[in-house]
Amino acid sequence: MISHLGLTKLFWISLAFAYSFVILAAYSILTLPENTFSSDSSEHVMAAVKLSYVRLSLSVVSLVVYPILLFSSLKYTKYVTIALTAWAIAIYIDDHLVLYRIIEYPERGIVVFIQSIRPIFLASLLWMSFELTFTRSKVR
Amino acid sequence: MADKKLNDTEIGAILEAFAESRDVKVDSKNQSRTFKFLIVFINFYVLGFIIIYYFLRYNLLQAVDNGLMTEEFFIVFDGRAQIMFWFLVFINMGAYFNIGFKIISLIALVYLLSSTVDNAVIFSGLVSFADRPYFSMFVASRPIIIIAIAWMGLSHKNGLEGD
Repeated sequence: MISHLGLTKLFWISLAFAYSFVILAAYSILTLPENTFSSDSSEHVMAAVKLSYVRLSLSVVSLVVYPILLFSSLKYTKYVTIALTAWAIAIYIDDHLVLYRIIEYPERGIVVFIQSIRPIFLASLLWMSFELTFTRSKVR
Repeated sequence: MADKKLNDTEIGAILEAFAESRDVKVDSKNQSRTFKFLIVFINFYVLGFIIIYYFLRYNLLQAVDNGLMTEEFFIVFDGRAQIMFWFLVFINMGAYFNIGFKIISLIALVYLLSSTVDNAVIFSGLVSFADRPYFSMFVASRPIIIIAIAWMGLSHKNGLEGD
């Protein structure tokens, strides 16, 4: 079933990494300790957590819809993957270049770890987008 | 004497070799009036808000609510203004050279949706047409530009099926 799609192993590894990343991020936000908002910059942390809830709810919907789309239409999978990649990069740019004075992520080990592997997550999504775009003829 | 006529396979190979060719620049007459109107509207909208923002930023326009003109907000709006400027550049270049226009429109649309959600979550308490008219107008008009970009991307004719 998987092999007839004609996608490389690297694509599936990237997909698995992306899924793991989002699940880990959801876990870290849903299990925040109560003392997270007691720091001096609690308003900034609160803004970051509120944003994360909105973003993660959309991400979880994507996690559910993506496999269905992948096995039904590669053409639309390509557009959805590009859109999700653009969204992930837009969020990353927003967090680091635009909103960095307004929001502050909690200083929790797992959150720091997620932030540090975020570029790998973006690279995985980029790889998936490029592969779906440039191996189009082979896949079809 | 050898038969020099091309057979079906050879004709097919020649047609396939040129299937991906396209005009470097699309004739603007090929585009619909809707597309032309939308791209002009988007240019005016983005440039209009960037100009208003920089007028406020450098005190060339009297700010109604000075409380909003803090360094933190300037950093946010500076970032937004610069990103939107570059999107405008890429949209216009994509339309002129007919390269990846739909992809650029899709990326711009996704960015706008993301930043609108961010604005709604972080700045929703600041919207007030009486106290902060420029900011409120900026936030309230976001759905219009989102619809305009989506419509523009869909109405663009690039002359190459499946691009």
